[in-house]
Amino acid sequence: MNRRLRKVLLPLAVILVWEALALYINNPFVLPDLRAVLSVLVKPTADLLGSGSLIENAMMSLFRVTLGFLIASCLAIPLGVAIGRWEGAKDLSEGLISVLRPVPPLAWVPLAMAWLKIGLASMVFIIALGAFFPILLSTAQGVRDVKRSWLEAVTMMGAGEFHLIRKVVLPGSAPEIWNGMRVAFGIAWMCVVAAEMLPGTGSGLGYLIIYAYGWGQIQVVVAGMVAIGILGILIDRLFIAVERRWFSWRHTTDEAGT
Amino acid sequence: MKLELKGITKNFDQGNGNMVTVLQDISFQTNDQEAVGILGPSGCGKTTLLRIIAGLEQPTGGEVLLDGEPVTKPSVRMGMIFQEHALLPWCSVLENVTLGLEIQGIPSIEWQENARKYLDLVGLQSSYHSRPYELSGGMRQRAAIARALVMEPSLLLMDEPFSALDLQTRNQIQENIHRIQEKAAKAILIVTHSVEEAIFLADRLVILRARPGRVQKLLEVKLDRPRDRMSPQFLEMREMVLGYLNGGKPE
Repeated sequence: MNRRLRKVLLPLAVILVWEALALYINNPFVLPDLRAVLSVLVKPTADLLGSGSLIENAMMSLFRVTLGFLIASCLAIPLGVAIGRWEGAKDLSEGLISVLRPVPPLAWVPLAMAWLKIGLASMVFIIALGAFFPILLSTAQGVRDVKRSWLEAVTMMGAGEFHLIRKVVLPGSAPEIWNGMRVAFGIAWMCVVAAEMLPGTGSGLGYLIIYAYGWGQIQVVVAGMVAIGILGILIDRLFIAVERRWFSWRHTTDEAGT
Repeated sequence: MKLELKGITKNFDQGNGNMVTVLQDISFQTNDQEAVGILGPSGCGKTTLLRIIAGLEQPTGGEVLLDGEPVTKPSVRMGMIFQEHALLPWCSVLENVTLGLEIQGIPSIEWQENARKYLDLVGLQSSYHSRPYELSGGMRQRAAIARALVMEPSLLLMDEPFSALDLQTRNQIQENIHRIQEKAAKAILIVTHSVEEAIFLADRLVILRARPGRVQKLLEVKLDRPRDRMSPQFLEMREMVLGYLNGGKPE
């Protein structure tokens, strides 16, 4: 069977089963049919239930997730470098990290609301928490995996710690860091949608689907879910494209015997 | 430039409190513009010895003196060529070579000219902008040599630099090294397990024996250059060195 065909087979089957079920159930409050969902998706700029269009809400979610993600990156990358490079930093932080890491970001919601009130700050806090640990851990691992021979070769050029970090450690661990950021963005994207479902929020894709549910507009709910999925894929593709463009050396390193 | 090793000893902790002596009381010296080959069986600690000379590791006892100054950390007066070229794979060949100049704070307008001088010397004039993984093994090792030379060290340390190359490339690059040594006027310290390589390149040999690593014999190679690997004198020298390597005295 053609590979391309094989790849679209399952999604097509899901759509077919969905459509068949929708026709069978025949209740748009439980499962809307394909046409109803598509009619929302094809007009992404149309206002939905007075709470803004699909695009407007998507932009809002993207803004929040990017903000939280950037904050997480700015904190996690330097910390990860420190943990990966200096044993002292690792020993100091290891215990705390292993306790905090398994706590789901959403478990922080009550505290976030108590500290930061409902609004942008608490949402960004949740998102940043979700994105923080994957970036931290992959940075630390990436830094530890930097080849000793690269470090020693550059040390022989008279490099001190500053040059070693800037010229060897960061570029050498960049693919691993980027990979962690990619995973982190996926988690952050889930966090933003969940955070937007909290009471008191007035925009975003998460808000849109929970609000539409309140009005019994299940076709908007599903359309919102599809939009979340599509944006998630697009962003992931973007990360992969950057990796191929910038970090192509990584896959050739082993043959090069470095 | 004069390198002096005085009673270098190195012990390693095996992890269970047992100390193992890798190097024991190694002393010798090298002179200006001289090529010295350090030869020994595997397990004689020759790589460790070179790393101590480079300042990458500290000896348990003894000291390394470069022009009378103790070596305790890496110095730009010594350049190192690693067993595996250790080029940075995300940088082009030219960027790898200019990196040291950048770190030394040399103005960027001078980088290109300096780098090109040594890349041309090792015969990489057409590969400035290649990435290391686009090059053959021999070209990579030559790029690593250019990277070390551009720092204009007075001593070039080589740790089995050609062991990963095929025989033909190896012979070629050995001849290269000889030419470089003449042109760039460097002292060279080369660690190898290849007797031929050592005799071909070196003016003097330090033959080590293993467990613990210690000096078995210091030898001078009094063969005219360029050396012919098939000449009777070369083969005779080879026999003699092999004899020392096997622990006994030759007949």
